[in-house]
This record gives sequence, structure tokens and C-alpha cells, in this order.
Amino acid sequence: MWNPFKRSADTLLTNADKQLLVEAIQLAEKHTCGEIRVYVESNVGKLDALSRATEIFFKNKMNATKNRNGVLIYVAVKDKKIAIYGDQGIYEKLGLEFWYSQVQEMTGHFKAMNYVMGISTVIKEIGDTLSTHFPYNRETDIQELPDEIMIGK
Amino acid sequence: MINKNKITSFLLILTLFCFRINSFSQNIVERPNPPRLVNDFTGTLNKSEISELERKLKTVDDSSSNQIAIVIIKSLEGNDISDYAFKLGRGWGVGTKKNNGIVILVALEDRKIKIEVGKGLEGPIPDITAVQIVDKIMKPAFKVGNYYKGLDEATDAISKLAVGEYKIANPKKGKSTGRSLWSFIIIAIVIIAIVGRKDNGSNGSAGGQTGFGDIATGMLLGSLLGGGRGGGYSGGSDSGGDFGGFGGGDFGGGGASGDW
Repeated sequence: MWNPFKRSADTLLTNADKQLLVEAIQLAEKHTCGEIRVYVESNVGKLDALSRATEIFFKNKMNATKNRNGVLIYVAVKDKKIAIYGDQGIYEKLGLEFWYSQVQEMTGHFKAMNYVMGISTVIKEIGDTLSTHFPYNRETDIQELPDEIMIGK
Repeated sequence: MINKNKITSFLLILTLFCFRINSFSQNIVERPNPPRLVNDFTGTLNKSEISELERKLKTVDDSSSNQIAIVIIKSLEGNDISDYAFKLGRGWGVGTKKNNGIVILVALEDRKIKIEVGKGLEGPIPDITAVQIVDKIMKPAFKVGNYYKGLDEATDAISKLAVGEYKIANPKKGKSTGRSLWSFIIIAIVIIAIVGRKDNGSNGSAGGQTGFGDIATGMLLGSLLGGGRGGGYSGGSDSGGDFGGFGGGDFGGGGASGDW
């Protein structure tokens, strides 16, 4: 059923919003060799949000970073679900607590319909936290994953 | 005469190969022969419960090619449960070449449970989901002593999650000759490596190990020549060789989710 008040994946973020988020990612990655990506789609499908995020993470080969420190921020717009998945390297250092707190932070902003604010805040916080565990090294750092926002169906 | 020599050396080589298996799996429980999906080494489940679970897991295997193995042991004897489950999955060869094997390991005396998921199923069943199944489904049932209920419901949950991504591609039939050839080549390579090592190693304990070697040779030959054995575990020691990898450091990541 079509509902004009429900946002879908391609209307959640305007082009300007996307640009803002890409800049937030680039800023966050200035201090860390970790890699952050954002994926937005309409429906989560038959999996739960975290499983879906994990699936997208591996499908986009985000596990191909040297230090296994990629992070995927996942949003299912119509289902109102979010998830954050971090790779092995981060999990080993931070455990799950960190992700719970970030998801909480994000849901707070999303409930107030501050979508861009919610995503950019956690991007910044993830970047800050990663910078202590995976510091940026000017000589060796390479851009391992693209920064652009991925939009699904 | 030459033929006989050839057979003898082939057997010898296989026996040598089995030392390797032996040393690899020295601290995990031995896979029963013929292999089964439900392995209770403690007598916790009764016969009808075992056959009921076995029947269900066999259906899962037949319909989706995902293999779920239940192993109940008495004690880990000081080993780490993740490590043990990983070695079990790899040592027994749970799953097919798609690494779609799952080991549910229960260590009764240690009161520990582990669901080890093969790499091929990490997408639909990430580690955190496996932990949730243990915490929310298995532990409550186990606490009141209802082991069957915990295992029954956990396997239901896992098999449903797994088919979210895994549809049957039926890799079972018609491939066995290719697989046998490959396993033979791999065995040959391993043997060369071992024989090379044997020369400068000690042979002290060889006598004591021959007994195992003979049994294992039989198992190996059986799996090489016999092809499928009733659809339980397919192939021999090569299938699912790349199971999981958590223990080896290739642990999946972690994450969290929420609604708004």
C-alpha cells in the first residue's frame, strides 16, 4: 500500500544530505584508517536488520580492509530499522557495547526525524573511537573503500 | 606383483596420512562411523529424541544442503569451547564445500554451549544471532533440564535463518568422482610433505598409532571409494575443510540494531 507519509530509500536523503554525509565520512576518516560506509534501503526484507547489514557488508566486500576495520551503518527506511555492523578488527577491540550505544544514539535522532543529524553524529563518534584504536598514518593509509552513500531499493 | 606393491604402498601412504588426521584432532572427540548429525556422547538424550532430531536435521540437509551437527560431550577438559567447536567442524568436515556447516556443541559438565557457524552462513547467521539463540532459546531450556527442547528449538531457528540465504543448488549428486580425484591429489601432496618430515623426525610412537591408522584408513578408503553414505556428511575429509575460521582469528565482526 502506498503511503505518501512514509519515506522510501531514495527520498530519505536529498542530494545535499548525501553530500553532507560523505563529507562527514571523509572528516571522520581523516584521523583513522578505519572505513565507514552508509547503506540506505526501503525494506529490510525477511532478515532482521543486523543480519541484513552483515549481508550487505560482505556483499560489498567491506571485509577486504587490511585491519578488518570497516563499519557499515544500515538504514531500512520503511521498516524503520537501523543497524551498525563493524568488522572483526573492531569487534575484537570494542566488543558489542559500543555498537549498542551508537545505535541508541542514532535511534534518538531518527525518532525526532533528524536523519542526517543521526547518521552524521554516529559517523563522527565512530571515527573518533576508531582513531584511538586504528590511528591514521599519512604514509601508509590508502582509501580502501569508497565514501559514497549506497542507496538500495 | 607390481600391482600388489602398488596397493601396499598406497595403503602405507594412506596410513601415514592418517597420522596427520590423528595429530590434528587429538583433543577432540572422534567422529563416529558411520557419521551422524546428532552425536550424544553422554547419554543425555533418549533414543527417540535422538532419532527425532536426526530425522529433522537430515531433512534440513536434504532440502537446503546446510548441515547442522549436534555434539554433546561430557567435558571440554580445559579446552576453549569456541576452539573445540571450530576444530570439530573442521575435523569432522561438517558442511559442504560452500562452508555451510554448523556445529552445536554442548559441554555438559562445563555447562557451556557454542554454535559455530561455517563461513558460508555467516551472512544469514552472524555471530551475534548465534549468541542470541544460545541465550534466549537454549539456556532457558537447559536450565530446567529439558535438553531436547533447547536443541529442537535452536535447530528450528537456525535452519530457518539459514535458508534465508541458502537455496538448494544440490551439489551432492554427480560430483563425487571429481571430489575423489581432488582429495587424492591433496592427500598425495600432504603425504609428500609428511614423508619428507618423517625422515628427520622420530618414529618412536609409530607402533602405538597403527591401530588408529588402520581404522582411519578404512574410513578414508570408504569415503573415497564409497561416495555418498546415506546423505549425512558428503565425501571424505576434504569436504567442508574450510569450515568457519573463528578460532583461527578470522572471526566475523559484531554489531547492533534498533528501531525508531
